[in-house]
Amino acid sequence: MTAPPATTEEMKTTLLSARDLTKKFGGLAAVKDVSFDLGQGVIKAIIGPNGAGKTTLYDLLTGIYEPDAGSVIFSEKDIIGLSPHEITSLGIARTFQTIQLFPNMTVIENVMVGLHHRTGSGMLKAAFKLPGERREETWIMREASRYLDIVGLEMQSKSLAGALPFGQQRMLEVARALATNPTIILLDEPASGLNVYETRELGEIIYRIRDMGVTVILVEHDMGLVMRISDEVLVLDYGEILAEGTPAEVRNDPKVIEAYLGTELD
Amino acid sequence: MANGCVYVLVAMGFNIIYNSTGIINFAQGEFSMFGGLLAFTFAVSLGVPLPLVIILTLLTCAVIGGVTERLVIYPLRRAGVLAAIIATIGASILYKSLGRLFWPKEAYKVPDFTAGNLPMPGATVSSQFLWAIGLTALSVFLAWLFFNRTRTGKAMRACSVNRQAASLVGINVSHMSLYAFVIAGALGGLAGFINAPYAKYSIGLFLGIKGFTASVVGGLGNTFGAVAGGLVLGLLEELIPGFLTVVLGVSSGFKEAIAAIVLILVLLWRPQGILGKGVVEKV
Amino acid sequence: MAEKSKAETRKEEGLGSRFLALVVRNKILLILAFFIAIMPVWADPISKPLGIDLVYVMRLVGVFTIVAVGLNLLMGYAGQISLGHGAFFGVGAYTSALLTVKAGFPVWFALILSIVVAAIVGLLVAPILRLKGHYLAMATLGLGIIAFVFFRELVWLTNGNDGVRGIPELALPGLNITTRKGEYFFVWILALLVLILCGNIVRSRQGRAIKALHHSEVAAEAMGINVSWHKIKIFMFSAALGGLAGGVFAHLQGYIDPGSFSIMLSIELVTMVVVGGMESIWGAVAGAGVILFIPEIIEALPKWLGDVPRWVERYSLYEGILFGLILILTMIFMPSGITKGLSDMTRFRRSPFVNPFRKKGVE
Repeated sequence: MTAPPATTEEMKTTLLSARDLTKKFGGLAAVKDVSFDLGQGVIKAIIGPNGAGKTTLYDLLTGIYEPDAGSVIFSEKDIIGLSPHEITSLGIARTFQTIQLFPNMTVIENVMVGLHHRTGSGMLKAAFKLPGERREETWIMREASRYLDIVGLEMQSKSLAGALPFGQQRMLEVARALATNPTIILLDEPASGLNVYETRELGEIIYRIRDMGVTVILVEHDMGLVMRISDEVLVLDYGEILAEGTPAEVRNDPKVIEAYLGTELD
Repeated sequence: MANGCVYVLVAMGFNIIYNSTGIINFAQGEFSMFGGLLAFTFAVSLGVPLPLVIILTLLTCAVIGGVTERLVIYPLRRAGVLAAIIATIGASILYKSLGRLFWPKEAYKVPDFTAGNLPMPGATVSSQFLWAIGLTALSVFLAWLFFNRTRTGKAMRACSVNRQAASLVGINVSHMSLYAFVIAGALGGLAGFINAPYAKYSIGLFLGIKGFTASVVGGLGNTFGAVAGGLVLGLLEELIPGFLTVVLGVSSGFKEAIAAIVLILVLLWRPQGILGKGVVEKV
Repeated sequence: MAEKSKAETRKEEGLGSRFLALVVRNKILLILAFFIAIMPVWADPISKPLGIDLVYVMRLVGVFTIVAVGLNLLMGYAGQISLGHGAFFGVGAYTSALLTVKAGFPVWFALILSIVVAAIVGLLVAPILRLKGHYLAMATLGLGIIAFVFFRELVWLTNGNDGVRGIPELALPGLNITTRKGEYFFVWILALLVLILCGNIVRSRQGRAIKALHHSEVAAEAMGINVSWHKIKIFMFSAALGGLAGGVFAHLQGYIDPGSFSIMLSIELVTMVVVGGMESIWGAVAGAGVILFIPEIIEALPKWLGDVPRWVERYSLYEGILFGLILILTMIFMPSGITKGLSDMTRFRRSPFVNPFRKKGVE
């Protein structure tokens, strides 16, 4: 495993700034006053006990929920209030904790859906099979294959997505999200349910993603993976930020240790 | 206002099945159809005394409800929403045609329970009307008792909240489904019975839509919602056609569309109804 | 992955091999087209002894195929449900009928307008697509009822229960279609065209988007698909097809009244789609064929068997029973419809048989 390249503060540009994000569900604050910056090319992990608000945070960032307070600045605008498909067009993609593949479509078709917003053939053009649409389809097919290559699923491109083994389904979700050509990708517990080898493979793929120029946010429970590959770690507990810093800093933070009492941090 | 009572009962039928199984029973109206038609057969063709007629009608309709569940719902318990919808639609058509087959005439009249009117302050009220209210109120009360005070009733409510969890604590979910249909069958039968002067085979869809609308207006899944909804709908149906004719000069034939319009409006704007807290699966 | 130049690609594919690929991919279409084309030849002679006017029924099958395909796309691919599609059929029928009878419009123009009007109506009611499952089903049922009531009550416009008479026969600019066979071919050329277009849509980017939103609206949104807009688009499209079919129907029948567009029609349409199979557009053809031929066959049974028990003869009474049973049994035993069953038999599938009604999500 290669070590992440050294980055200095001056080299990083801030891609995304979240400020004071708060979301309550019926009186219970799932996310409270969460603020953080995301620098370009960084691999940022968000960890925390179950129910700490990590997926809700993702939902806020991708427009599935609107926060009760706070803002998210991305490419110089506040994306709060935009719908999920608009946010994806702007360049934020995500995977889901519970796999949300399209099971009755083939593997490659799933990825092709990811390319939807990058293309423009409407129903009329498709119905009459105009040449522009045909060219576009060829391009879509080619691009989709490329993304399958990245995650190692090119051999399964014609299989039904629902028939894939679990680990490969996770990879497919990643490929599909990458196909939207994002600036930032939010991975939601990608290692969940993967064995040791698959997790290592996942780490490699995340590096590949970073090398492609995509910034990665990673919600994860697998501490080994988190500590190994992340540049920064954000710790959430009960919806609030508990600690923030490099993996080493966070690992030794007494507050974090207390919250995770009993959990192996190596 | 007797209409309102009928709607209340049909709405309760919808609620009970929905609560226990999450299914909307498109054949609910047909249970009422059977209620009215069977009542006629028992009372007029067979000359059975009235009190017995009520009991027989309710029993038969309860059985029909149960049969529906076993033959149509149970085999599809693992299929999704769409399958159950289509299957109950199929049952609805089937029952309507059976109704038409055995009771082909346009309307059947079941004699009033007790003849005559009662003078009351302000208006003369037919005793039939009082019967309707009385029976409805009794049913509501019994339903409330059942769901809040008996074990089976509470078990059925548990199913509506979380079917999986309910089965995990030992509740036999498929039995609950059966009971729900049996009870809804009986309630539907009672509704048809009260509506009896207008018993005919085509009444199923009519009552079904109104009952469902009442249920949604009051809040799907809420017993008192059914009451509220049924009464509100009954009221609207009395008032609106008059309003339309007088103010807009529009014919009264639009009356049938009122329930449908109310339904759509409520679904769009206040899907949880007046009293309800059910989830409407919008987002 | 070097980029091939356009010229190279074209040379490589070659006109001949591209044509062959086209044929192979569209084999069902070609078989169907061939069958339709030669049908009048062998059908007419046997119609009399059979007791069924095959060409007449097939004409109707063509009309209903058009609306069924639209509904198929909406229900099978997009996963929505419409129990009120008869409304669009009726809107199309009345639009075309009234424009030709009362306003003297040429038939071809009136048909185009019936498509447009139906699509507009579809757009107007599209807000109900926010609903899901039972709620959408009930709401569309409500729409069907409202449409029927309007057809019946807006007497100044629709003649109410008296209906619209004297609807002119089908005609294209310069060509009057007055013969039975002429109508048959007109309808089927239209139907095949619609099938081709829909097939193209299904295999395209839009088709994928629609299938995606059926599986998981959340994921589809995350892929940059504006789910609401796509739902509206496909709904309008299926409404437009319904309108077209209704318009053609009006001209075939010469007379329409509100009774033709009741809730039963909407339920028949859903039955066609369900029985035919929602996973493929050919299901629309199969479904329309089955639903329209069964009553014909039953009515003709006395002729075939000579002596038949009394009850069989009174078919119309049993129509509903048959329908209801078909729906129920199809759901229980053949939820994917006829076409899936057939295709499974003829093609070995590597993947497990997936019931389209299974609850979505990983289990």
